[in-house]
Amino acid sequence: MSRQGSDWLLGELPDLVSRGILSQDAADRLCAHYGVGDTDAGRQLGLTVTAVFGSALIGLGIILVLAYNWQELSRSLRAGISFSILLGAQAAAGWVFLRSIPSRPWREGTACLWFLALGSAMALIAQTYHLPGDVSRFLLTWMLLAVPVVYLTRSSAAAALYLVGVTALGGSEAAGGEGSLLYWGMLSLLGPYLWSLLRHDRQSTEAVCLLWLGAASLGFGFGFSIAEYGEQLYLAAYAGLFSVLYLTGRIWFGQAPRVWRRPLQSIGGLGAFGLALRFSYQDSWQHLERFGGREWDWGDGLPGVVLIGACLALSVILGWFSLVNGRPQNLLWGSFGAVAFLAHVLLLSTESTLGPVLLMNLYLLAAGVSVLVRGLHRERIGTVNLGMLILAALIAARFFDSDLGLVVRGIGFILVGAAFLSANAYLGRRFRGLQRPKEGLSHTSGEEP
Amino acid sequence: MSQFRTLAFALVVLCQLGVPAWMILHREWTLRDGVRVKFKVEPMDPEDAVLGRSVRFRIPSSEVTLDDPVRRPSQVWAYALLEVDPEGFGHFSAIRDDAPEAGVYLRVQVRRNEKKGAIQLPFDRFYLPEDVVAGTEKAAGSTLGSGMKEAHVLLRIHEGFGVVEDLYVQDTPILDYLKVPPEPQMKEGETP
Repeated sequence: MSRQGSDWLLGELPDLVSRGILSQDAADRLCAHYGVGDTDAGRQLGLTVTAVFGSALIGLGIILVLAYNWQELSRSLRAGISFSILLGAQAAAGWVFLRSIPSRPWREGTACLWFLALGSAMALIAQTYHLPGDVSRFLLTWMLLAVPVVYLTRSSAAAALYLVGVTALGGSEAAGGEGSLLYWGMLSLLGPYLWSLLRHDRQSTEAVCLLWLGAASLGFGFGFSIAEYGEQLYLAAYAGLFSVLYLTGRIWFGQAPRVWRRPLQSIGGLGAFGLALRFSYQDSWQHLERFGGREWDWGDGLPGVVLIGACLALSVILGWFSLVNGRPQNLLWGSFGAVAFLAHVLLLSTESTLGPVLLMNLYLLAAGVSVLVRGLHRERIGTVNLGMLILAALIAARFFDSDLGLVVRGIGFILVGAAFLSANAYLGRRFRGLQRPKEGLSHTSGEEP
Repeated sequence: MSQFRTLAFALVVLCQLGVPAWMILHREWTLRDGVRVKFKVEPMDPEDAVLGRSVRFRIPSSEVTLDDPVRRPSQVWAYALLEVDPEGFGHFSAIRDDAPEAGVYLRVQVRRNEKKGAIQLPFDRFYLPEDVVAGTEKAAGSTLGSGMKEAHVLLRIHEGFGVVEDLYVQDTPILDYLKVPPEPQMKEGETP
């Protein structure tokens, strides 16, 4: 049974038992039949996590001990140590791999150790021969040698380490003014592994964890790509990225039962909200204008523009897909890329920053109201609260932004807070008769804007 | 399938051992067969010469006049020819696109700067044991920094490839130099 199905079954069974529809025995037999609810999976996950952490700590410890730089050791002895550590890690991982040992903790742990042993061996060589502090070259060699570890061992811990390493490599390249092509190339090497993982079970814990890391890495990657074109592109680029992440998450991960299992829409939605709120301030647009927002160089900025164009095109396709499948609510944060692009065009075509500021404020207002209305319509108190939170954030931002006196602002906050509490109390009473309290107050289900 | 798995694993292991092995062997051969060349060095910042567990240095005489500055791209790999004076110090004399058949030279990256070419040397640090660095920092303050004004690095160069052999401060290997405790600094009006 899929994780989604097992989560649903586990959520329903206690209620069915308490209502007397099913006996406890029948519920246990159902669990046993579908292989859900047993603690074996949890135990396996716990063992895997401790194995990964244990191996990572040992690997990092070895790197630190070697970093002490033992001058008493001869060069040949240091070389011997480098190779012994690497060979030991390879032998452990090879034993698990070649004997097809099914234990996941062993697989993940040895792969993690193998990955880090490679780095420690190379670091010791760099130290012994006083190699220059070229972080990019060091990381590039390490990651290129380590990427087969991910595919041979099918280890998500190794994949996570690779993602971290590639992101650091991208940062190092961008800091040296070398562009971001290497980052994207290296990131794409992980594509087939991630794709196969998602195809097998996109809601598995390892897939979800890698998606969190991958989405964060993509955020950094966009930063590396547009860093060389100044700050003028970053609103449009990040707005496009957040839209694509949100829409992808809503379409392919929308049914996940918990928020942490919905990495793409969580990052996309939060990112879009945060960016929209930031650009609801006039100061942000004036800052963008000061750093070349009006002088868009289509020649030099072409790769950045291609990135933004690709994101916009993808968000339009995904938005259309959502509409065709009867999910217009996906456009709430999914349309943010287009709105931000429109706001930037407004900035370029008019003399004032008023237009884009108004557009961003209207967008946030519309988002808050639509979430609130949908929450009321569907009688979900969690969604109602979310809508009110968006509106409250917008109101608070405008209060801080305006020249109103402290007393007026204070009274304004009190009134908004009182409205918040009153609405909650009223809705709580209204829903109590229609919904079970636990569903209304503590479980907001997978439905989220 | 099993054979393929074994073959793939063996291939990966060989690559992972081969790359570090080549890194080590290439440097060991250079240290064994290379010509000894000294370069005067200066710390990046005399007040902060020791960063972490390594001494960072800069070779100041790494700029040469280019014959064809316009044609040369902004940054390229090239061969920097060296002249070694009787004291063993190296001086860059010319830049070439192809490797010379004889003489001492280094394969380097050259960044064009008007008519000059700035040579990007692949040497910028010398690693030291952590306790030596920490002890020196505590005891001597900026003594190492001021001492490094008379410092030079000893390289071994072979077929365009260079390896740092040692770093000298006042003609003493840096590790020996650091082992000698610095003389306490007298305050004004204080008698020894």
